[in-house]
Amino acid sequence: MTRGDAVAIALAAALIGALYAQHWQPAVDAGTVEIRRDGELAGRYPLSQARSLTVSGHLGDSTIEIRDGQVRFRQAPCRNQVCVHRGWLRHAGDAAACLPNRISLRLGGQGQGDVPDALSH
Amino acid sequence: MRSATEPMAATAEDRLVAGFAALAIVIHVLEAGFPSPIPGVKPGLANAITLIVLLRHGWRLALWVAALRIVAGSLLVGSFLAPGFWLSLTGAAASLAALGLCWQWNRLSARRLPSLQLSALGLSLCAALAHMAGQFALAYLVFVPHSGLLTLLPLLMTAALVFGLVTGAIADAILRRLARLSPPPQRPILDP
Repeated sequence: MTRGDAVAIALAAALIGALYAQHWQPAVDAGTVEIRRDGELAGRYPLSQARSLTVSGHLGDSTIEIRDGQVRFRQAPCRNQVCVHRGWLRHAGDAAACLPNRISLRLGGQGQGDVPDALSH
Repeated sequence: MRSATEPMAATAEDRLVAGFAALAIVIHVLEAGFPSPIPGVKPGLANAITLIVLLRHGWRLALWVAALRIVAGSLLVGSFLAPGFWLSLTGAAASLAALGLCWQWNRLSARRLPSLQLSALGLSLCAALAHMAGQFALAYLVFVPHSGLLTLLPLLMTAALVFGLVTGAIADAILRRLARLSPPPQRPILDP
């Protein structure tokens, strides 16, 4: 191994370390949920207030429940119920979707979606 | 004037390229038989042949061997022009570009900073990282532009680092033995 090799390995390790730091942030609690119907924004709600929402999609009504900073699909008209089995979601960046009913939800950070979810140094 | 059907005589250089490309293709095909834990990750041992040709016979022949291996190897595996082929091709182009840059670096540093030259180990590392980065860039920008894919990037680059070093170490060991058996036509870059 030459000294050049050692430098290359050190640089590569530093680069990969930086990638881990950048993309493997610890999970942050979400503040809002975005609900989309047919890919278009149907509403954005804070997770701090408990509520139950009914969204009508291609097959029928999906019920979405918000409680204790978490959100879930409680009931869906689709056959395989993938979205319901996804369960409660609480971290920023989490998402669930009902493809047959074309309804999806995605959790955002504390603000209204235009502020970063987290900052780190 | 020779007719178009008359076969052209193969030069010694052609035979060299064909022989090394054949070796690389065999490794490529054998490797394709092993299942991979994550799509896009494989050891890339065939690149050891590219490195050996590069360090013993220079950049031009290495490019030929790599290109022949990619086309013939993917034809044999059956991935030619499939979506995965474009990923591999982008990766291969990026990795050859990185090798070319490192090769230039070695030529530039030969006079002033010979200790900073890259051996097969460093060359292989750069090639592997560039291969993964190029492949990932195409996947992210064209096939799946979703930010969730970025979570995979550190893992994929770690795999590239490990496999790049393994391939480089293998190429280095083979180069040493070859140097003992027959002195290379060009001075190889070995440890000081």
